Amino acid sequence: MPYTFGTPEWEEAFKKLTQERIATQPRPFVVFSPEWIGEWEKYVQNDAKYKELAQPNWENPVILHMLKNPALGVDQDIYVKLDLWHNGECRSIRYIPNTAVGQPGDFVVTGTVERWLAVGRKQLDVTKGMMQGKLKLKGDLPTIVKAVKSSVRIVETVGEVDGKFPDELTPEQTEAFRKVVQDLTKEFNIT
Amino acid sequence: MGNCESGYAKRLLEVNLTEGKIETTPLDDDLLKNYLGGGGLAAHLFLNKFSPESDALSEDNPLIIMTGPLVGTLLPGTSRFAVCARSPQTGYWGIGTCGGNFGPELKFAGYDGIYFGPELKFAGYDGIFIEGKSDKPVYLLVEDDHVEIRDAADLWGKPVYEVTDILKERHGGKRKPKVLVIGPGGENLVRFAAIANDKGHYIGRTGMGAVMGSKSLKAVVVSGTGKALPALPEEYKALRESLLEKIKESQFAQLMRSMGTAVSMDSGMMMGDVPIRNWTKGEFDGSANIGGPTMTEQYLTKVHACYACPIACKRVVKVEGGPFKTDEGPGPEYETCSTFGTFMENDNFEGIIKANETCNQYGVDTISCGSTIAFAMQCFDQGILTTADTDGIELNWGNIESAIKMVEKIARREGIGNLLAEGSAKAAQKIGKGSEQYVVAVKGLELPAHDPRGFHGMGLEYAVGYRGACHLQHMSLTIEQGVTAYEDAGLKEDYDGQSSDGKADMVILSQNIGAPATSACLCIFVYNCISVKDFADMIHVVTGWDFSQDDLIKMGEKIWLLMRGITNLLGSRAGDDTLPPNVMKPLEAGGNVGSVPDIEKMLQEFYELRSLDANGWPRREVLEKAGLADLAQKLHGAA
Ligand code: SF4
Repeated sequence: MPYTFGTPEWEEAFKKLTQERIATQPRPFVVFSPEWIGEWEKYVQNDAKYKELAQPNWENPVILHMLKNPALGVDQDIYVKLDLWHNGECRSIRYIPNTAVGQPGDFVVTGTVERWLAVGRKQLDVTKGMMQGKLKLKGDLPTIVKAVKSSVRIVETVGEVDGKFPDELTPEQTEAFRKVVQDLTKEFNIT
Repeated sequence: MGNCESGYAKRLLEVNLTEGKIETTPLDDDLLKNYLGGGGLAAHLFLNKFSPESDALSEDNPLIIMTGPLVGTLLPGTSRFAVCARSPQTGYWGIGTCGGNFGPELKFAGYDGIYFGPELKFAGYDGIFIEGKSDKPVYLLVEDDHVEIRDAADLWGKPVYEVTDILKERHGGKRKPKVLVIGPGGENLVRFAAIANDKGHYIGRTGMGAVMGSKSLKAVVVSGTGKALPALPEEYKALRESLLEKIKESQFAQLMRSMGTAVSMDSGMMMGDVPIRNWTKGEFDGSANIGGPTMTEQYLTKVHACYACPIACKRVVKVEGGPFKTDEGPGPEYETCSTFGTFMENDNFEGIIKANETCNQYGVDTISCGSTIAFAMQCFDQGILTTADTDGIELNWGNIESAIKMVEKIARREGIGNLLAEGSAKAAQKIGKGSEQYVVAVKGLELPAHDPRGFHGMGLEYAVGYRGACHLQHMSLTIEQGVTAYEDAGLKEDYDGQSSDGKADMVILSQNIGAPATSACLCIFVYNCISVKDFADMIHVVTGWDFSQDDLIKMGEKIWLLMRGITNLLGSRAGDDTLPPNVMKPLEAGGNVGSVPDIEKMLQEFYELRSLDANGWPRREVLEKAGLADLAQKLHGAA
């Protein structure tokens, strides 16, 4: 039986999985893998720049959405939610199922795998990318534009956590990543 | 009355105010096919009529109002029109464009379906060519084929909104006429006076309102009962649907719809685009209080669109009380939020709304007006101007009350306002004492609120612009900022704003892509969301003409050369292609730290690629090749 998303059991099991994989997987981790997300969470939680730019009363989750690209081992859309709170606190970063996306107050930033790669490699300026629609924004636009500096900072951090992007993987690693996502989907109900 | 078939009425209304003469002349297909309409066609007509010796405020300067083939159709972004003449602000080619319509279904506070451009087409004219000067205040009444010059003694001296209401009431039955009006600014020949299209849209740049004032022409009132019928109705319908869908999907359109043009404030601050303290500072925390989100959350009452536009970037705002109480009315654009905000280090949004309304009522361009006041503030800061010069007004940074008082003085030409009504460049010549270094203008036209230190290509665009520092008659701004790309037409998807490399190429192509669209009177915000091919398709379904992307780009080159050549004939030389000192100093903070455009290098490349000679004139061969032999002869003499 998969864990039910949003329950304490889900949370506990996910944390455990992340810690195990951080300890056992070879570095650099694959971007958007559970172990990489664990590292990224720590990075954002300690990011002084984000804390400085964040709005004191911020309560809106930001969801990064990677569109599927089977050729690169991403068989389904992946949603990762940053639970951001007052004064630059990042309470957690977790996968979420698409059925949980689009709650009132959510901001969703959607991009193809290629766009996220470009962000990670600093080839795509995040502000421009958002204005151009290369990274598509959904949510209350005035709220996100008001917080443009901190939003951009959050997206920028994707490129600052050591990681391998899907197009840098060997065929075996791609298969392994595909399997990880499949297992996560089964066990943690994140599709 | 007659319908406009296949894009055109094929008639020009000619009015001579000195002689009181009114006639219509035909416009032939070849001419329309060569320039499409708008500024391009107006420039062609101007070239055949003007004399370089005539002052911009003399009766010899014709004022040309021109629509384009798409105007009057329901294709998106097609309600615009151009107003052209020799500019009293720059002395060179003057052009301002404007959209219109808050839509009959969106009535509010006396607004009722504002669309001057389409209405002119419905009355059976592609444009109006106005010559001469009346010896008393008049207005022009156009009701289909009935055209009359009427006495305007009772309207002279009155502000824009009141005159608009009077004329709509006077000449409106169930359906109200569309009205162009000047305010006291135009009457008093303020060199950056605007023309108001009803209350909500302004032909702001290059002082077309002063040209209208110099002719004692207070207003143009138009009613038409015809229709604009496309050549290919089925294709037209299908194209309209697909364009609407495309525009709806565009992130740029969504941001503009959500917050209006003021959305550019917050992202612009990050990209180093927003000028602060008369272009001398890189950061201003107060900018967060005067952008799109603040307007939306605190002052917005309605959102409106020009005729047939799905973007709907127009804002309607209200300030309920306090010193800047403002009735419900048109909200400030990004440019106004900057010129009356960041330019002056003012973060009081209510003050900006009031300043916007004051400029509207007096009929002055908010860009040049705000910028000229920011220039005066820097002079005040540096002790060049004191309260003895300013009639006791403290022109200190951030003082929006003083800025609003100054708008009134400028429009009435009272005290120091009389000096500032000349625009910053001419005012500095009179003030002297080193004030010239604080002028931020090219060819006499104040820079709009986009910093060339953040976007070097814009610096080149400003420097070489035929109307002076311009952000709208081309596509350079949004191309360099990456909002749009036109990769099919040969532009790159991404340009590094703070590099001068490859910018001459980018600017030339942006000008050539932009010129036919602005001549067709297509809104460039809409153009940002579609391709050149889409634009060609728009022309095709309306006129039946087939233009390839390359044909349009070639036409763009011709139009650019024509306008540039006119500016040269009016006296502009290579030395005018320059950037002002304030923007050539690197900033120490903000989004463009340490960046300064390499204007010499870009100019050199531009001159070579555009084939301009040492005078800055397009060479004879280039003009002749573009089909501008007349211009070549006027500029270079008989071969
Ligand atoms: S985008 Fe704005 S200015 Fe352009 S046509 Fe639409 S409403 Fe008018």
